[in-house]
Amino acid sequence: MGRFAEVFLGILTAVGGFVEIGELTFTLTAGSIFGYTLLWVTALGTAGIILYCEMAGRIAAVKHRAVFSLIRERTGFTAGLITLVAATGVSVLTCAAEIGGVALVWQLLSAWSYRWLVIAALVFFVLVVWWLEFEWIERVFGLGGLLMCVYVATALAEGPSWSDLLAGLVPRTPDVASGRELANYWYYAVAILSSIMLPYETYFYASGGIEDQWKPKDITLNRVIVIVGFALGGLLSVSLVVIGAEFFQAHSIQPQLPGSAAISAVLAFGSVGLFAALLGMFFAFAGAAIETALSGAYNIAQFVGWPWGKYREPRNAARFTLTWLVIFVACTAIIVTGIDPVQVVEYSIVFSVVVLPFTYLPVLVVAADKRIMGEYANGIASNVLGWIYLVIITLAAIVAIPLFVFTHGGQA
Amino acid sequence: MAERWSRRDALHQGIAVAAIVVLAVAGMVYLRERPQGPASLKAEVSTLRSQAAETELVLSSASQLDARFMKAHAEQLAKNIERAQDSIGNLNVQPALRDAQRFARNEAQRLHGVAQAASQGDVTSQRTLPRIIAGELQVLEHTLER
Repeated sequence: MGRFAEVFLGILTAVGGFVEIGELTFTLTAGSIFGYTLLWVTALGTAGIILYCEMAGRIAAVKHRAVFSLIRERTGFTAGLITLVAATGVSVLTCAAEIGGVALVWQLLSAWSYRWLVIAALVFFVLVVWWLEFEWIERVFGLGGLLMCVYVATALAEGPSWSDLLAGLVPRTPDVASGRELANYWYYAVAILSSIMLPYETYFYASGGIEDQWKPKDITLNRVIVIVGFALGGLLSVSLVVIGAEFFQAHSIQPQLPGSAAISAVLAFGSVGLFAALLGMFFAFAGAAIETALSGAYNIAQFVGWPWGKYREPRNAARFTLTWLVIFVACTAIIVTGIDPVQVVEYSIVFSVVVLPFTYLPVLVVAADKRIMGEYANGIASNVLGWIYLVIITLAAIVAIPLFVFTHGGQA
Repeated sequence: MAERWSRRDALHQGIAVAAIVVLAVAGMVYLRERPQGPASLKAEVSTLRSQAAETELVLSSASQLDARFMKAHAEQLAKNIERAQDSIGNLNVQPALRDAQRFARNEAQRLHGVAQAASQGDVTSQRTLPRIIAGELQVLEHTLER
C-alpha cells in the first residue's frame, strides 16, 4: 500500500474509533445540562490523548515496548501489579458496557430479545477476533465507525450558536444556583476528560504499533495519524455536545440510551439518519469492545512476559488468546445479568480516571528519557505539556470518586 | 528498578489494600443506608422527569420513526423507567419525604405503563400523559429544591 493511502486510512480509522458508548452518553448529557460550557473539556481531552498516544506510539516504534512493560519496569512489581489489576478491572467494565451497547443497538435494529442479543454479541466478537487479522479489525470497525459522522451533520442541522460554541472552548465556572450544581458541573468535566482519555486507548494504540511492526521511520506516520485523526475525532465529540445543547436541552431530556441519540439524527435526516446513526454506533461500540478486550489481554501478557499479539497463531500465544476469550465471557456474564450498560459505563469512566496517572507517568518518563529514546526523545514542548497534563489528570483522579458519590453519579 | 517482593511484603501490602477496600465499602454502605435528604430524592425525580420528556418525544414523533425502532426504543425506555421506579422505591428517605417518594413512585408506575404500551405499538391512547407527568415531576423537583 502506498504511503499516502496508509496515512489516509490510518486517519479515517482513528476518527471512526474515537467515540464509544461512554463518550457518547456523557457528552450528550453534559450538553443537555450545561449547554456549551463544557466544550473546553472536550478540547482539553482531545489534546491530551493526542499527546500521550503520540508518545506511546513513538516508544512502540523506537523501542518496541508496550505500555505495561514500561509500567512494570518503571514503577516496580507491586505498584505495577496494582495498576494492572485496576486497569484490567476498568477494561472489563468498559468492554461489558460496550457489549451491552452493541446489544441495545441490535435490539433497535431487530426488536429481538436483549438477552439473546447479548449472547449473540459474545459469539460475534469471539468469531471476529479469532478470524480477522489485526489490521482488518482496525479497518473494518474504524471505517464503519465513520458513520457516526451523521452526528456532525445533525449538529450542523440543529443550527449551533457559533458564538456560544466559541465561548464554550474557554474554561470558566458556569452560572449555577448551588454548590451541588457546581459539583455536578465538575463531575461531568472529569467524566468527559476520562471518556476521551480512556487508558485502554493508549494501551491498544501502543500494542497496535507493535502488532503492525512500526519502526522509527513510521514515527511521522504515527504523528500525522494521531494528530489529524484524533483532532477530527474530537470534532465528533464537539458535535455531540452541540446536539445535547441544541436538541436535548430544548426537550429537557438527559439522553441515556443509544436510541435517544439516534432520535436526533432521525428527526434531522429521516430513515437515512436513523440507519447511519445505528450502524455507526454499532461499529463504534463493537470496535471499542474488541479494543478493550484485547487491551486487557495485552496488558496482562506484557506484564507477566507471555508471548502476545494477534499476529501470532493462537497456539503460539495460547495464554494471550485464552485471556481475551475469558475477558469477553466475563463481560458478557456481567451484562447478561440485566444490569444497565449505561450504569456500567459510569463506573468504568470514573474508575478509569483513577488509573490514568499510573498509565501516563511511565509513558512520559520513558518518552522523555534521551538515554532510552535517543534522538526520538520528547522535545521541550512535549515534556512541558506532558507534565501539565499529568498534574491535571492527577487532580481529576483525586476528585473523581468523591464527586461521583456527592453528585449521585451526575444526577445532582 | 526491580524490587524484591518477599511473602512478608506481599502480606503487608495485601492487608493494606484489604483495609482500604473494607473502609471504602463500609463508607459506601453507611452513605447508602442512612436516611436520605431531599437532594437524593430530587436526583432520582430528575432522572424520571427526563424519561417522561423522552417518552413524550417518542410518542409525538412516532409517525416519523421506523416502527421497529420505535417499539424497541420504547421497550428500552420502559426498562429504564422501571429501574428509576425501583431506585425511588428503595431510597431510605427521611420521614418528611415519604409522601413525595410515594408520589414519585406512582408517577414512575404510570409512565412505565405508557412506555410499555408504546413498546407494543400503542402510541395514541395515552399520548398526553407523559407531558402531564413531566410537569408534575418538575413541580416536585422545585419543591424538593427549597
